[in-house]
Amino acid sequence: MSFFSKTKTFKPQRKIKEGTKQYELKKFADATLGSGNLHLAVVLPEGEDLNEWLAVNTVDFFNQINMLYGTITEFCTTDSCKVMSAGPKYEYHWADGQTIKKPQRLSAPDYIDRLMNWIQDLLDNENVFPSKMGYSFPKNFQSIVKIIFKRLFRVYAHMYHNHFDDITNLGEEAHLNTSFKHFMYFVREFKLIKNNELAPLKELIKTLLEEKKK
Amino acid sequence: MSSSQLKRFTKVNTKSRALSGLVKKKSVNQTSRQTNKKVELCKKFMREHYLNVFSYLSEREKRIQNLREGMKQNKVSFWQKKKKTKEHFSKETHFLRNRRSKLSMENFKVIAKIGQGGFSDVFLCERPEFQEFIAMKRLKKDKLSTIDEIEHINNEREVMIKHNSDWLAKLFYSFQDTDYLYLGMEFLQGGDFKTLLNHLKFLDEEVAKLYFSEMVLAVEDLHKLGFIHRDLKPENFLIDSKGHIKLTDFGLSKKIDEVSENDPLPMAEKLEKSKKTSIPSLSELLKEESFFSIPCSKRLNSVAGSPEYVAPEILTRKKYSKEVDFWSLGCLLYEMLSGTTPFVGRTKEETLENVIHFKKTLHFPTYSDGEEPMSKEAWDLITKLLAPKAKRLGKSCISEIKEHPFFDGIDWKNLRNVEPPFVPKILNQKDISYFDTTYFEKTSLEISNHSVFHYLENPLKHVLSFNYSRIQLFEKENGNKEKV
Repeated sequence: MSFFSKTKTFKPQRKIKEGTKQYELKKFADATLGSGNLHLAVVLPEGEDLNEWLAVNTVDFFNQINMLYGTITEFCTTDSCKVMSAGPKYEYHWADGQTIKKPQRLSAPDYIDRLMNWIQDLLDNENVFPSKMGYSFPKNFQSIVKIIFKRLFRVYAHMYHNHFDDITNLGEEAHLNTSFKHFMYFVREFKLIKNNELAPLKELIKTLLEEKKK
Repeated sequence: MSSSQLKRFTKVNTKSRALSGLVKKKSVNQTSRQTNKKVELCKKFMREHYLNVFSYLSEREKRIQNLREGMKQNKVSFWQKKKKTKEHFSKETHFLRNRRSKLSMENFKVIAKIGQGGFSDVFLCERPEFQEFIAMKRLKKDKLSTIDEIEHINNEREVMIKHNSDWLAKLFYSFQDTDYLYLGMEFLQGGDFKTLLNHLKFLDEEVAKLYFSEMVLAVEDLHKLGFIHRDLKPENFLIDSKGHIKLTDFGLSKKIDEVSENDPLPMAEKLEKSKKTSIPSLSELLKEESFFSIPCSKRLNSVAGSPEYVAPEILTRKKYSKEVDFWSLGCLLYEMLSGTTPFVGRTKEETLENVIHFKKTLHFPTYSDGEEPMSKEAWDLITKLLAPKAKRLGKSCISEIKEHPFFDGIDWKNLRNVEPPFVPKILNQKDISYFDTTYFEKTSLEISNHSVFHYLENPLKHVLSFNYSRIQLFEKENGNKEKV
């Protein structure tokens, strides 16, 4: 497949009504950074420790989302997004399982702030993400990584559903798509997020990842 | 998973659907400059990130292939092969872990404060596990008020990492905490050129010639990287342990307010302004995708530089380019040979006046005993460097300077192998006796013990890519080794 057909091909719609969010998202799904073999980039490299690979990628995705979301903080305010959601159908409530046990309804910026800080604290915790040589990962490391990915996904979901217009206006759709596509390949490769969690972006995920099958 | 956790992720009824449909959004035209800058940084970050993702994987692939080919050719035994492969993979894991390693001041032991600027301090620090000493520049984030400044530092940092010049100081680490940015630079034990000049008052012409040639090469290398220094002065030339010159401090200072050409501010006010901003800014990266050329069309016209060394076109707010550095070099040569800078006045105002009217104020220096401090060639070079920018030597190419008769006998390609006039006598790796003693104080640093790249309330969260550690060299080293 040539570079041009990849970016220009109009894909047949899968029974998505025009005007719906999913339709809009599908329309833009083709715009990526043209980086190619993302599905190969997620595979555990030969000889690498699985946890080490999960760890470095977790940090990378966290950084990317941090950068991407950082560009729309002007548009994602307590006014514009009173409740953290992924479009009208999905709402997310915050609980960290420690200090906050009962899920709270928060505005999107509050929710995302807490979510990112919660991840940041884990990434900074030497007992969870050891950065010095000779220290090993905790036994429950992979289940922690799964929770991190589940939560990071929600930031993508919010950006796609509630701010995709902002993203396109800023000319960042290719960047977001590339990042999310990479993220989803990674999630799929290591089975990090359950299907029901992925529902808000189901159609988009299909579109983004289907190229590989051809 | 508890039921309460599941609740967080639930379908909501139509009522709230209607609500969120009403959400108003800001239109694009309202996008602030801040956001646009953030977008620019984000796109750059993403581009680079994906380049790295793919180059990392292909390099990694190459490394293992090279190892295997090498072992095949050298007929390594089965067990040796197994051992070597295992070692190789553990090196790769080591590298991956280092990519995540969060450097902070906790990794360093502060030995002494060796410098101070308007908005930054420099400390001699040790990284104990490597027994390595570095000059740690600490910049307070509050003082970097605009995202432009952050970008400058970031770009600057990038060039400092990329350069491969013997004449420019290297950057080994950069990281941040909640309050500060840190730049861990090569620690050069010979102190700075200013301290050397202060001790010797002036230099013999043969000695000056050697130092000056090295300075010219340093400036040439910096220009090749797409930088204009804008603040060349003796204290920005450091002396390494062998006695050679290295240029430092490119573009870390606070950028002075940009002033347009037809800026109506009277001189007095300008001076007042420049006083407030302490020592003004240094170099500035040209706004170019590629750092490796200085396009003539993109000139800078903001005020910068130390008054005694600053070119007149900067003071008169004319457009300027790399030839401003040649002016400063001219001032430096004059100072080395005569002991004073050519335009120094009793006050800063006087100095600036002198620079602006340089045609009248530049004089051949003479001593009270009538002895002449410099040769005809030296004076000729100085007058060609302290010339109007259109006529200034080096304007079209730096080789115009290098070919000047003053440099007769200089082997430009071999300067690093010439024994420098002064070789510092260094007791040990942390000997700081060549530094200005004003700053010597046993220092304990206040370390903000927060996360390295703190999220959200941190104004610099968008310089995540700021964090860097020289461990990247491992990859290079490794690659080269296995190619053999």
